[in-house]
Amino acid sequence: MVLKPRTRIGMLVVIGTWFLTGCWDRHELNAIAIVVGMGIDKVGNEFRVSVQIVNPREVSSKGRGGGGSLAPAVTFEETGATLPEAMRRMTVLSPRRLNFSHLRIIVFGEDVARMGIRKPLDYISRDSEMRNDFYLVVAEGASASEVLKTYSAMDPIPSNNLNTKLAISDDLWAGTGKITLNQLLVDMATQGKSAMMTGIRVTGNRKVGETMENNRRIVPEANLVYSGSAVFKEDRMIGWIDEAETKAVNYVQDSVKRTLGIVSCPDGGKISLSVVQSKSNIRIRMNRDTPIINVYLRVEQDVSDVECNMDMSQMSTIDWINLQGERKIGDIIDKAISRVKGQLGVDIFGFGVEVHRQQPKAWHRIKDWNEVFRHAQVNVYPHVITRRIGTILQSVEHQTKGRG
Amino acid sequence: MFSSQPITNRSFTIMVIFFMIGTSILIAPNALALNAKQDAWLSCLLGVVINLLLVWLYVVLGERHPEQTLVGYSEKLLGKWIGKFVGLLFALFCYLLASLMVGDMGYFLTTQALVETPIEYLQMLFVVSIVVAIREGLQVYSRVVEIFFPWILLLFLVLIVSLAPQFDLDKLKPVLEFGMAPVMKGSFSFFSLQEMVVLLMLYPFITKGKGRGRGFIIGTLIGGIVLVVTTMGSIVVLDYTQTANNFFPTYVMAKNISIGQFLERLEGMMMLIWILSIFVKVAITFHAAIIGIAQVFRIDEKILIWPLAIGMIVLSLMCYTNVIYVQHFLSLIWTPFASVFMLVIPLILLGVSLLRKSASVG
Amino acid sequence: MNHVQDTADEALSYQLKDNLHRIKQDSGNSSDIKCREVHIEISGAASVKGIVAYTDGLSDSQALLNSLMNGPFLFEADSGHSSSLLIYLKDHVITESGVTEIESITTLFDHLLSGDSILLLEGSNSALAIGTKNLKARQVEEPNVQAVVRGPREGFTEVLSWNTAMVRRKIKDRRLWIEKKTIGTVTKTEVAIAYIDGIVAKEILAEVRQRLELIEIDGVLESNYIEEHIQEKRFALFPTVFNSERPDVVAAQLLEGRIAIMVDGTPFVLIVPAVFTQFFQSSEDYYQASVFSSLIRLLRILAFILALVTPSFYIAVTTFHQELLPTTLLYNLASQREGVPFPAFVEALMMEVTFEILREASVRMPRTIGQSISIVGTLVIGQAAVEAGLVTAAMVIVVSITAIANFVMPAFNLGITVRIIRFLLMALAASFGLFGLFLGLIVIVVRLCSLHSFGVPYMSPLAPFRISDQKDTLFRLPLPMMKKRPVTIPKENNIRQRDR
Repeated sequence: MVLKPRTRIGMLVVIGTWFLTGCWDRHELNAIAIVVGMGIDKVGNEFRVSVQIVNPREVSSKGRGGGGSLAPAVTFEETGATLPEAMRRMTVLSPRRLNFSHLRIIVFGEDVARMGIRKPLDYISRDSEMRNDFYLVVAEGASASEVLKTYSAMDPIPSNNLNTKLAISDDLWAGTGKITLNQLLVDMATQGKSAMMTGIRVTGNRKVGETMENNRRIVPEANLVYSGSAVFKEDRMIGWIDEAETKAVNYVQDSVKRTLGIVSCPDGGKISLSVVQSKSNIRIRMNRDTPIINVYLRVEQDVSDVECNMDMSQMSTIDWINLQGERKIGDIIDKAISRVKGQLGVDIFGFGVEVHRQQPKAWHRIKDWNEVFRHAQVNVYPHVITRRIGTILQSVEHQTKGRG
Repeated sequence: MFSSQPITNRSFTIMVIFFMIGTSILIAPNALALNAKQDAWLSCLLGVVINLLLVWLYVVLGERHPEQTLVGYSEKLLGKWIGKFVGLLFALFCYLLASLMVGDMGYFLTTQALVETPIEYLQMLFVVSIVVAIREGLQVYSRVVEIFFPWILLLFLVLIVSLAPQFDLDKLKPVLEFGMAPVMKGSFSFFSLQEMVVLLMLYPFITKGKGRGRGFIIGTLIGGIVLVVTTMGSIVVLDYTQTANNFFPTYVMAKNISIGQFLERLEGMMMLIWILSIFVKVAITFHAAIIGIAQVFRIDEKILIWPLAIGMIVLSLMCYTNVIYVQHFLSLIWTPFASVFMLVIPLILLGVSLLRKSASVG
Repeated sequence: MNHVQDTADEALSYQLKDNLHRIKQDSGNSSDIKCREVHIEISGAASVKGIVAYTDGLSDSQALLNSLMNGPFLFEADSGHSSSLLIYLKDHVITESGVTEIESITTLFDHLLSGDSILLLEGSNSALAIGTKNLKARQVEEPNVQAVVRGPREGFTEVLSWNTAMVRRKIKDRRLWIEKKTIGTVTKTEVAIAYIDGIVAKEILAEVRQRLELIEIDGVLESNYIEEHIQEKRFALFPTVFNSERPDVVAAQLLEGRIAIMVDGTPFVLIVPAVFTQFFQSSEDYYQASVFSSLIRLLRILAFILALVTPSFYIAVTTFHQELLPTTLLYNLASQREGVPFPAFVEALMMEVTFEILREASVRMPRTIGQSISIVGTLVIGQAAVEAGLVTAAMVIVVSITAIANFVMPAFNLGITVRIIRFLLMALAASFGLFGLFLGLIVIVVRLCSLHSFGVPYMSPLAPFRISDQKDTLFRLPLPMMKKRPVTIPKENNIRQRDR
């Protein structure tokens, strides 16, 4: 089909007009509200959703608004029978269209977590704007909206602050656990592992925390602090575990990157050991139908400080430190496992997943893994190696005492 | 000059790779994980092997009639009327396939990227560009794929390498938990998504010789490797539960890329890979349909392009009422339906061809 | 321009008066056609009256007149015929090298108007055209457009014979053949086809000859007149004919089996067949270290892509796919956009058009004012527009990057193409986001692949892919490794270097 030039021009005109009517998905940057934080609470039968929106004028390095006169972030709250309804209803509050693609954190109120998070999670995972790079946390002893209303130090946007705080503490401290949407969904869908989410607390004076006054102080009146983790049975939260227990879970799940532990010297002082590498290996043996779970841990550590009088130049001292480290780690994990077994009764360590992977046949005979887990024998075999002891050899205490 | 100069073996191989990757790279992991769970990659591997066997069949068939398309020799082998009928059915199969893929493309975009844009406009824009390519002829778009190939390879490698830190190979265990049955079931529904038989319509336009068949097989193999790697990546990054529950798991997988704080949000690359590969696949399939119809009715190909292109949009809108319908259709009806064209017709043609040969010899 | 009909070709008259009258009349008594009466003295006979006609400013007839006045000549006037006197003068008197005998008015004018002097004698129906061309033309200078850091500093001039000479100086081989023909019914412009016999493919040469033959035009003032006639597609956005103003480039291309078309009156020489990757290559690539040249070539391709897609990509990402931006960058861009009244597409369009206007102005402005234009451009348009909140600073950056990248390409005409396509892609990106941009790029590649230049696929050696030519396409390998000429351009002899 050879087209005449006139026909071609006609087609161009048609296509041109079609361009002009286009732009359905076009949203200029000054027409969207960048949502960075989302909080979900339960009010009666409805969800109360709070979204935290960035006020870009106040955040960017060259804001034209006069710097600091307006709040850097705005939090809107709206209730609705379902999450999407609340979101849509938010249009009566928000001057701009909400955009969720830069969400940094989702906070669940403790009440909504206890009642089950399946319902809100469906929308979050179904919506195409949501990504997988935000973290999910549970507010401990506070509603999610309170968390999102609190001013945060340094980072003007609380949600950003929460995000980076969690990432750094997960990296260096291991007493928290960053969990993303995909991981949470997988944990909830997997029978052999229960989900866990880090908890967030508001400390100090909440009233002051909600004003900009909070940021003007050197020591903030109120602060947002991560502490411990919420444990879920299926989608319902059933209790809290503390920092040490969270660390134990991280050790077992092989998600410790770096952390720090303290052991006592014979003379009463303390030695700080910083873990630089940890590798866990879970081996399952079956004894009839009950699994025997062996956790092998290989931990590399550096000595961070020595606050007692020990002769660090001796091999035996290092061996002793290693032994103490092993005892300490084994202790933390044992304690955590027995408390989880006894009080919570769900497998947050993911042993079930390992049983499934290593003993698929036995796994299929298990009806309720959590039941089996409560009676399963778990042995922890930590193996600690000391790599470096820092820049000096003997402790300051050792040097000064030697002189006197 | 319409499809008159021969295509080099190299560009044919690349076309086969694109054809193999086609739509599958985005949607196949989902269907595979639904059936075979963490063994989806095995299932994919098996599906690729089935495809290789099929391609071998096509090569044998194609080499017996090196100068003709499938429509051409079905007329020669089955007699004028039955042959024309089979040929027309086959051309219509290609046509349906092309419009289904246009629908796939539209649904992907309206689900993941351009949520508010009317699907018709996206499909129109897409089909217009397909028409531009087809009107230039086979020779031209066979060169186009040669230009695209290094890019798609590069993008794919960047994608896989930047996802590598997130690979959790333990997610592949336990292997063969439920035995071979689900794996086979998965591969059965997988192999019908590649529709390599369509390429038999272009086979006579390729430079004759040994390289032609070899290119067909090598292309299938390379494309298959890409699919297996993608499926595996999707499982080890997302876990099979999420792979099975996302319509476009590979796109979601690409969303997960995060290296340092800067190399992230790279799903646009996945979109580019997919648009490139589906562009080539739709162009080839649509062209095959046009060649087929033109040969059955002995009319000029160029006259058919515009009307059939517009029809393709309409057909895709008719076929695609919603995603569930299509999923249902793909999982239950498509495999047996496509098998008729992918396996039964080529087998019959080969059988008749062998019989005629032995009859003429005897 | 009216198509001037050729006046009927007539033979010269025996009467000098008639001929003189004819010259005056046909040239409309043009003041620059000078006719000087001379008397040629012959020893032992009466002097013969004659006329020397020349075009003022084109020819230098001083030496000719000197020798004509140098009589009396020892001409044996026994035959008494003026024609034999003419032959005598040609053989014995005139010292200029180019002397042609002419017999018709048309040829007379052809010679007269291209700078020859015409000698007419009473009683002879033939005349002599004496090569007294004295061209007042620009001297050989450094090329303006295709400048290099290292490499020859000479560029072609407006004079065809100098240009062929410059090529000849590079290739001192008798196999360098130069064919001349005249194109343009009025301008009668000389066009030379240069090629190396034994390397060039005969069928391409025949095609070039045929296409030049078919040109029917009144005037050829620049080589683009030829270019537009011989390219395959009338509306092809991409240039399918290469041009250069550098003798070294032409020589190198001839050695690869290409054909140069040189047009009198312009320093820009056309080279065919041209392939796409050629437009990313500069002659300097071969004068610098190969590693460096390879990197520079990759940089040019990067610049090409940047120049093509930066604004459209920016529009697509900021207005359709905010999820693809890093979070901090998004805050930053969003804060810049606060209070900007126009959508990103309009903003980009405005800035691009402004830039185009500035660019055009700086080309057309007298050189001395050029400076102030750039000051107005940067200060007023750039800074003031941002401070007034009309455009975002990011958009200014995007447009500047695009503009700079645009000028990285060594071939200026490809840059023009890129500018046009950029606007199309911007429109696509503004209505369909990345999807529109991707499809636009796909269609561009399809169009590129459909082009041919004198039978050579435009995208070769990328598509169809030729592995042996990759040594000198995107990369440039060291010269000793290029033993063969590129196979992309058909040719008779492929050996560049013999193995030792």
